[in-house]
Amino acid sequence: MSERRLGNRLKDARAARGLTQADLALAVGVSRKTINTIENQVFVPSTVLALSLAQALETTVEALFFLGDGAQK
Amino acid sequence: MSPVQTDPALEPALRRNLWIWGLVVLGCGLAGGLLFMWLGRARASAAAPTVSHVLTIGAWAALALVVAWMRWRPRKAYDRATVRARAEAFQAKRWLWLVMQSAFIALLLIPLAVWQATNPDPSDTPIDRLFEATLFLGPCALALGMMTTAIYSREWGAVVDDELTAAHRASAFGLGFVTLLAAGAAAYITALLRPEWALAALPPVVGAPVVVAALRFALLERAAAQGG
Repeated sequence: MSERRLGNRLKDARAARGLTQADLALAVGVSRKTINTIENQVFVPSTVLALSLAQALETTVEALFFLGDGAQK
Repeated sequence: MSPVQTDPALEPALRRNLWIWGLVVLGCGLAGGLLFMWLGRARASAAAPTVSHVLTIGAWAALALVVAWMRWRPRKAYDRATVRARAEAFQAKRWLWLVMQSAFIALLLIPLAVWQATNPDPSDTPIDRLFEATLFLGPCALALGMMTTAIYSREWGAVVDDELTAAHRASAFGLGFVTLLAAGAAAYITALLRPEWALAALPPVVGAPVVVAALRFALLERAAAQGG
């Protein structure tokens, strides 16, 4: 069974709203490094942070995050 | 698989002033060496230990006061963006501090503590022994504090101890715990075989988990700062 990874469209959503990583980090109360590692699919955020990100970007969690195959990134 | 993207905004903070950090490492090594020599000579004279004890008390008291002020000072209106920028800059360099501190503990303090444990001076008072313990345990506690919110102000804590940091800390402390078990088992076996080495085995049992956890944390933070 292949391992499923959490993909995201955070970078696109952030860029579409003209926000920098620092802006988004400030809005959700984390460091810019955390935003960076989420965008690079290195760090899987908690449910609370995922909801906060969706709220800050005025979208839904499902629109930001998706389940992909292990080979996909 | 797409290549991991590096955040260009984080790189200058990582690469800046590396020569200064080199000098800091050199200075720490030199200061540690002088301290080691001083303690050795201090055993031969009655006055020197008093001076070294006063300096030790002063340094740790000053550090405690700074930490207390940072944590519990009355809150005033402050520029959130400025505080945040400083905290972010510190966070980007914290891994380097921890690597240097780990090297300091592993290469100097643990051997020094073992030497102090195995070369007790009959004229030492319990206060003298406590001071020697402080020299070793203080930096260990500081390293642990840097990985938690213990030594940061409330404003900084929100930035330098966010969700990613907590995940790194959990991983680092997990490895530190395994190291503690291994070092404890080794010390136990050592004490069974050579009871006279039991005291000398204790500083590594305390120091090795701190060093391993700090290094693991530092490497995770460094990887995250470079984009993962």
